Amino acid sequence: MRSTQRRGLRFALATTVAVAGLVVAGCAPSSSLSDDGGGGDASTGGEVFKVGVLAPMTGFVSAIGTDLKQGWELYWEQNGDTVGVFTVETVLEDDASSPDTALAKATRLVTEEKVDAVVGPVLANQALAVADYLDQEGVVNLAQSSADDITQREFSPLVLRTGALAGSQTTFPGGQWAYDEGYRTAATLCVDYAFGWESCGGFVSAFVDAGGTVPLQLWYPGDATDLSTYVTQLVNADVDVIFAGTAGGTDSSNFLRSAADFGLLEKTPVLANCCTLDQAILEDVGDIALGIKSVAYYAEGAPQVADFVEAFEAKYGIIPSVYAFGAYATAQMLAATLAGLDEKVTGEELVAAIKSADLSDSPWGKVSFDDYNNLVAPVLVRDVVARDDGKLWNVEIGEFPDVSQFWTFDPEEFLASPPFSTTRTGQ
Amino acid sequence: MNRVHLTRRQLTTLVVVGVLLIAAIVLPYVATSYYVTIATLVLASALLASSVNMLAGDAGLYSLGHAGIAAAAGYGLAWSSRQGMGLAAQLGMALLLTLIASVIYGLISMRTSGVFFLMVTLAAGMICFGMAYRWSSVTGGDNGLTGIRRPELLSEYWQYYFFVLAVFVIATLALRGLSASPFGLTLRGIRDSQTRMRSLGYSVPAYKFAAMVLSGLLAGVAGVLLVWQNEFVSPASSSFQASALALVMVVLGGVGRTFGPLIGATVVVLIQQVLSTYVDRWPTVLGVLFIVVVIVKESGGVRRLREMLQRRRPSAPARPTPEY
Repeated sequence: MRSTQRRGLRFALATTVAVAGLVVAGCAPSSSLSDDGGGGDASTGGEVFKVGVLAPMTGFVSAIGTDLKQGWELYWEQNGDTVGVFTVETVLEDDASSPDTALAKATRLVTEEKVDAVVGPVLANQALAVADYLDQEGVVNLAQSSADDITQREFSPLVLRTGALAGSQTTFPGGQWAYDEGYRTAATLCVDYAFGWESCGGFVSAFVDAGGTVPLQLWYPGDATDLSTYVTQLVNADVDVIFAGTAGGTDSSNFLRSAADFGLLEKTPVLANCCTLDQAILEDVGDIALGIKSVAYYAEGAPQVADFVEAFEAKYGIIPSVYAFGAYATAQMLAATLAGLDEKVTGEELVAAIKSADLSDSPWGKVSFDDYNNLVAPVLVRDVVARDDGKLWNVEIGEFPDVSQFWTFDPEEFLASPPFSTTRTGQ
Repeated sequence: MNRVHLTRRQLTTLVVVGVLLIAAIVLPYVATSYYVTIATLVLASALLASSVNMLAGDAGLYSLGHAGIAAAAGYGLAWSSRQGMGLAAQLGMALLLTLIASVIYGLISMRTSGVFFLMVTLAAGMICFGMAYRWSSVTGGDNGLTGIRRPELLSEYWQYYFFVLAVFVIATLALRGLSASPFGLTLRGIRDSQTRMRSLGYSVPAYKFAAMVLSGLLAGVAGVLLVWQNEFVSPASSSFQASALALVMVVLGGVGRTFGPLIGATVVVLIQQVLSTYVDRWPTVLGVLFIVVVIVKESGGVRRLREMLQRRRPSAPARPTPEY
């Protein structure tokens, strides 16, 4: 009797806690951009052009989601949401870093919100699943993910990669650059899943194609917290250059710290992929990153993005990451296209319009689209330097113009071979 | 326990189930396609949770690796679909992989119980995830496999909804039958006292093995339905998180309750897919809710709530807790 009473009391208490929790959570600001009054001035723009943005606001890559959202918002805030005859309205959805949620949210954007285009998502598995769904629904997808196959083996006519380059596309020039610098042997260390395979695949195939050899290739699991065993092997390897393709999370910081601790950075030159030296990592590891070279399609210190970086820093107080850049560039590209249209068009026509739009002001630099809806764009060789205020950033020290996702290889032959993996490394 | 209060409680249950069923049938005629899709997802997830619930409720075995079996079925279907095989071959491949996975799960877990069973199934689930993640020439690695299409007859969202609803109803009835059968009774006996069952001459491991294979088959059905729902499969479907969510659904709904998985799946899916559109901190909501239910639980938050509402003391002693 007494125990039941106590249990009832405990239950009432727990219910109160639950209700309080729900109330607190319910008071959190809504993430929907359309609530911010962004679509207010419908007086000039006649037709509403609705864009769904799928970004990981929660889950293990939630930092990327915030960057992406800020980059996207910054463009419309600078330029207004009225473009030609259109008013651009944004609906932001959290994809929770999960492909299943991304699909459910894409369904909501298409069937409930009736969006005209979807921007995102970022992760490879999300991007491929969502692209396949949107293709069936006839909705244009402006992809933000670097997974090779979005515009290669899983190419679909309504998917344009506007916010990133393909994973291996960015590292092909790295292989060429290393060879041009006089390096003839290389060792690689890449994260052991699709993104790492593509990063290493690009570097190795271009390096080997140019005439170099790669005697040592190491792969580490994505959740490895200690990379010192891999770094020690690299220190002992008798090679001219090291290529590192990390995933841009804590693994990147761990790699750089180990590389500094074990003297790898002094012993052998290191060339990294984009994400090893992205802003979040530079802030984390600090001065040990100084002087490390990398290849990417975006450098915070490059002159063509100076306006964007300045505006972003003024608004958010941080130097924009590669994801913020991708979203901003996508917004710019969409605006440039909409300015040239007088009415809403079908998905195919919109894709054709974006591909033929005047992209000369693009922060990308000189770009065009290939037959597979991927950008042919400049890839930058970067160096980490300290700014006057002491903050680290990447500056451009070399540029490969008009890099294709197939590098110098024949597209059809390239697509006939399997995707990059630990068994197809580009050797 | 229902048999004791044959009159009122069973009548209420019948009425509630009838109303729910009618609501489920009417849903596609009144709701938009998005909500019907969400309802389909709820039913398919509830099916996976049911397979966990069957083991947890009757045999007292809590699995943290069932998403691995579901993913095996899903990958079997997806891979053979990508190879251009027909529907029968696709389903055959899904069944084959489900059987292989469940038999392996069964063999390695049949001599364990309690926390050891949990760890063994967790490990088996991680192996499934590892294969999906690393064996990229077959599974597509992290990218997963896209471009899978449902059979022609189920291609519309509402057709698929009715199909999943029918499968769910059949599976739920079958599970009830199983639970009431001598087999189910034996499992409950094993749950309550393994030593007594052994001394009565029952082969405890054999029963646990059979229960795991049956539960695995149901998880396989759920795996196929989830892949058809998304027309896509990726390692995330076999991840620890997917397995854990299935167990969360079971606990939220009340372990061993027939409609527990459905209630749990409804809550989890609605928070994950619908509430997340309006509330930034939806994972907090899910977490707080889970903690509260675990604190309140003992045999399920739902039953306790119902007892509160009916202002009745529990008429029977609480269900015996499984012996570890």
